[in-house]
Amino acid sequence: MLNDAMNIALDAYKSANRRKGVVYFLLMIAVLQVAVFAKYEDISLNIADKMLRDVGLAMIAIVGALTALTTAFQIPAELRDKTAMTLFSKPLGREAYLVGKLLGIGLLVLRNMAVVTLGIVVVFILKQDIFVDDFGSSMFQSFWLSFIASIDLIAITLILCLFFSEGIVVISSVCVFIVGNATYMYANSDTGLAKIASFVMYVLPNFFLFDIKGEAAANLSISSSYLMYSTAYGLAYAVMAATLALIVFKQRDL
Amino acid sequence: MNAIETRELAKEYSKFLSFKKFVAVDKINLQVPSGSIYGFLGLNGAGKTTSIKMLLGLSYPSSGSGSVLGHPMGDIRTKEKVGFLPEEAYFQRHLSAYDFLNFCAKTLHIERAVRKDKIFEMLELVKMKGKESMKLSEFSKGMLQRIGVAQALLNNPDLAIFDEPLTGLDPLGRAELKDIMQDLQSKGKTVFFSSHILSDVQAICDHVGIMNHGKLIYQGGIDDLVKVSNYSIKVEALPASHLDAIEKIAEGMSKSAGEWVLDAKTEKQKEKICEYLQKNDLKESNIEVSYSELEPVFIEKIKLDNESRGIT
Repeated sequence: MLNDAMNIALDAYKSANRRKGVVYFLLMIAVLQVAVFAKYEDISLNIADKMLRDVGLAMIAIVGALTALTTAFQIPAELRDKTAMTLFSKPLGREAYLVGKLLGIGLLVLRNMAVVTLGIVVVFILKQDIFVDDFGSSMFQSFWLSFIASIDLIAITLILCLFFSEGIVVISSVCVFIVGNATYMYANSDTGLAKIASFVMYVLPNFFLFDIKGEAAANLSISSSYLMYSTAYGLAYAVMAATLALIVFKQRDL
Repeated sequence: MNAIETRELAKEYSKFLSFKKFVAVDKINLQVPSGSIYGFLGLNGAGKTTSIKMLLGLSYPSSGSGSVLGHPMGDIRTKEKVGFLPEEAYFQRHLSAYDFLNFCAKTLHIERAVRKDKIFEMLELVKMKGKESMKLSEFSKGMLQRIGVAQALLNNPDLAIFDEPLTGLDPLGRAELKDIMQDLQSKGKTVFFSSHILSDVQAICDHVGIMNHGKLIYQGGIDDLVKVSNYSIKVEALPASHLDAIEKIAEGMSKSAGEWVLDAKTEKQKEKICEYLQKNDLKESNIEVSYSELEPVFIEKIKLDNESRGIT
């Protein structure tokens, strides 16, 4: 099963990585944005460094989320154009297929996030204030939790892929990402939405938990227990979502 | 022993927001003998592809059961011994022919040491050697079909299931694929394929099944299906004293090139004539059986079934 999953993962990675232009485009946009902030830091008054870091970390998270959404362009197409029929006529379990897709896209997320991070690091090096106040370690913590958030997004997208076409999957996944980021704030507010938000928090992943960009940019220390809790929560959610996707997929006719 | 066997296998689809159900496959009892070339015939929408998908575990039956190579349908271990070519060549078009076959070989758990040789052996078999680095997106329909056949035979399957394999191939390609199928049979493998090209089915199949509106309306040897109930019994010497008696039991009789030709319409009638000849020490020199083309027989079967079921 593991070999099959790795075979699918490699195929998913290569398949999603075909459009290298997208990666270069993302990298260029990320570096340009950070570079523009670095150049015109006077517009940000006294918080130039913090803003620069914040934008850089946001870019890394956005690239991770966007790459996670490429899941939407793999599974529905393979199910619709019946590539899956050829695949599953071979001794390949459906669990290996889904796990392979999760791993393959996860690997691509990691690669793309690393590429953008490197680009941003270059800008910081040029600005000569990288690793001031131990920012390097904060950057890594934020990078890690953004990666975990992307894994959750892939797992959610996997479920949606089994029901909808690419366009709907992308829109729904983006909605899940936005709502998952907002629920924590609403659940802890005094508004009438608090109860609904609390309920949604148990269904959708709480992406707010993974958002430590503000703290990292301000160099506020993130405890290791928080990091471990967030990582455990994120991975547990991904396993549950992937298991649900598998239960649905196993019942499905191809 | 049967390579494929189903018992009351059925598939129903529920229509969206409706209690009505569409029966795609209606309790079929397929029996595909091991070592045979079995033609699975039927009009579009007859339920052939749905049946094949259930055999491969790609979709689940609503009721009934079946076995493939002695294991339950869809059993993952069985798939290592089965080769499947889908109706249209649905592959990842961004891959090169070699990369695609390599991916399939890995999925089939073919040892790394022999993988490359196996791929080139298959490329040679389907006359695609030299095109291994071309992307599948650059291939014509016929070329994709050849690659499809290559991926289906990579694991040297005991059972090859081809869904419309001859569609999209030029006459040469069709002839080559028919040769491949006959070659598989000569090696003791079973070939199960659906097709609309009845002349090809007649040329290579020894068994056929005909599907119509989800039902298996005929299954058996192809000779039994296309054999016109017409026997020509040739007798070299027929004394005039027997002519009246034979005229009474035969369908017709004529003399050509010094031989008497006695016609029988049914097996029973043929046996009656042979019995008479034997009783009177008259030896038949030859008994010829006439065969019809498959196409008119197929159409007749479909029409009769439609009439009996009130389908217009």
